[in-house]
Amino acid sequence: MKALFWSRQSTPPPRAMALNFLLALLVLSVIFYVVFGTVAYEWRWDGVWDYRAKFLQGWVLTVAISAAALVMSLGIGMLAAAMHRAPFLPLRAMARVYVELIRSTPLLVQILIFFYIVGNAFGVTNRYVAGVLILSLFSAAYISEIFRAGIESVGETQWETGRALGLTTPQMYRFVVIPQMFRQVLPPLTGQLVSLVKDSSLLSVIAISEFTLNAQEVNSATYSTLESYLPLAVGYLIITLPLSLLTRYMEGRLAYGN
Amino acid sequence: MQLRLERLSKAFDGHTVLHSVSVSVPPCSAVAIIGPSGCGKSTLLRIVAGLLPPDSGKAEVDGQAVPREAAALAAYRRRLGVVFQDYNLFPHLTAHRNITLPLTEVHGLGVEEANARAGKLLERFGLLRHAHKRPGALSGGQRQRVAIVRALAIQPQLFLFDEPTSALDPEMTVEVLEMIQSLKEEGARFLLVTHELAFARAVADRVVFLSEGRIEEAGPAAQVFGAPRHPACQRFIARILKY
Repeated sequence: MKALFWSRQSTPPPRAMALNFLLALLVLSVIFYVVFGTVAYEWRWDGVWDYRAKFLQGWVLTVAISAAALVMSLGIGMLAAAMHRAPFLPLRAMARVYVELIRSTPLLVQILIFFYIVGNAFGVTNRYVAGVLILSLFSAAYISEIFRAGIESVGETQWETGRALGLTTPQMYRFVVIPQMFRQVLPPLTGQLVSLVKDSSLLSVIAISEFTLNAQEVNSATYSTLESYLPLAVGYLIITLPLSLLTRYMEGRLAYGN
Repeated sequence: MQLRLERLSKAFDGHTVLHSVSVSVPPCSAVAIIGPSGCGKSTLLRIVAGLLPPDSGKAEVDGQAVPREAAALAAYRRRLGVVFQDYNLFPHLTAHRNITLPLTEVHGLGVEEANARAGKLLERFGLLRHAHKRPGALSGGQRQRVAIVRALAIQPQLFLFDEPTSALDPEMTVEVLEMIQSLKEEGARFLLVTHELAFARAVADRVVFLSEGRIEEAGPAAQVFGAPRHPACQRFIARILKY
């Protein structure tokens, strides 16, 4: 009995873990039940149900925008990380300024400035293209730092070994640095990609009819706040949970002792 | 091998590690560099390996100066088999892949040829059943033997051993030393930096004694160990061989 609830191992038996997950969910349900009981909220799902197509359209758009931004931010992040290590110093300075600027200002402000000022100046008038671009640039700043830390985790002794063996720098990256970096960056990268999906909700301020904006519209049309926002939470979970689970699985596949 | 150093100097952050050292070691098959910790032995080996540029002076191996220019330096390094103190196997690759990676990517062997060569050498040194393991799953002695096989597989003209046993316990030290001994018996030529004086005495033909960044004595192994001339060398050898 005790073995089902106590373990000092980093990976307890799966059966015990499943039981304890159920327990956590149960506690959560009880709390929600009690809380909703006290406010005596009157549920009216029928008004919201009429708008189900709108939810679905918003959700699909959020998935599409997130997927596009995910791919682009990985590319830009890799580029910025490479610029950080470039022998040509102006490139390094540019990468530094980019990362610090993006990380030190709110995404909301970046969206507004980029869309209304930078986007206009460069003729990016399509709000969806602009949205994906801003989101990618934002996320890539964080991702480039994750990549940089991953590259630097491969120590100087391995570089020296590579030189002694006659491997060139590109060969070192291909066979030694990137495979090790991949494993190192997976956990922080997942966190960043999950954030990206959730941050896409801020694109509602430039009237991109993604999931959050559509839920807000349903709310103003039906006056059923919780019925509009609860499906929103569930919808984001449907995107982000598999992302986390997938990387967990890959982490396990890539594991090796040191 | 033949080794000639000419007024070789190296400093790190203002701290001089090698003070304009010069020596000429006549042709022989194995040279050992001995001396107290921090005397500059490993730095000297790295300069000879072409992994560290000296601040001034030059090093010559077999009558050829260690190149400074990138392409010539890369070609020079390809002919050497370097074995490091901390094994320096790539942690994400299996023992087998650690050996074949330089063969296929640097020495132009086909995958099958590289696999066959690695397999044969691993078998010969009793490592075949560890071939699929990553370094994390191997003991220190096994790692170092795999690292030596990696160096051996490229069929180097010269081995450079940088304190190959100083991270190992006595039993594993014996495994590794026996392996080096058997390479020597097959005619391998090497430069060895070591703390193992008894071993240096057994395998080296010529010995260079380095102390505080200066070469204080160099000569045939029998003479340096049997009748050292320089007081620092006498003290060092007497103290180490006492226990």
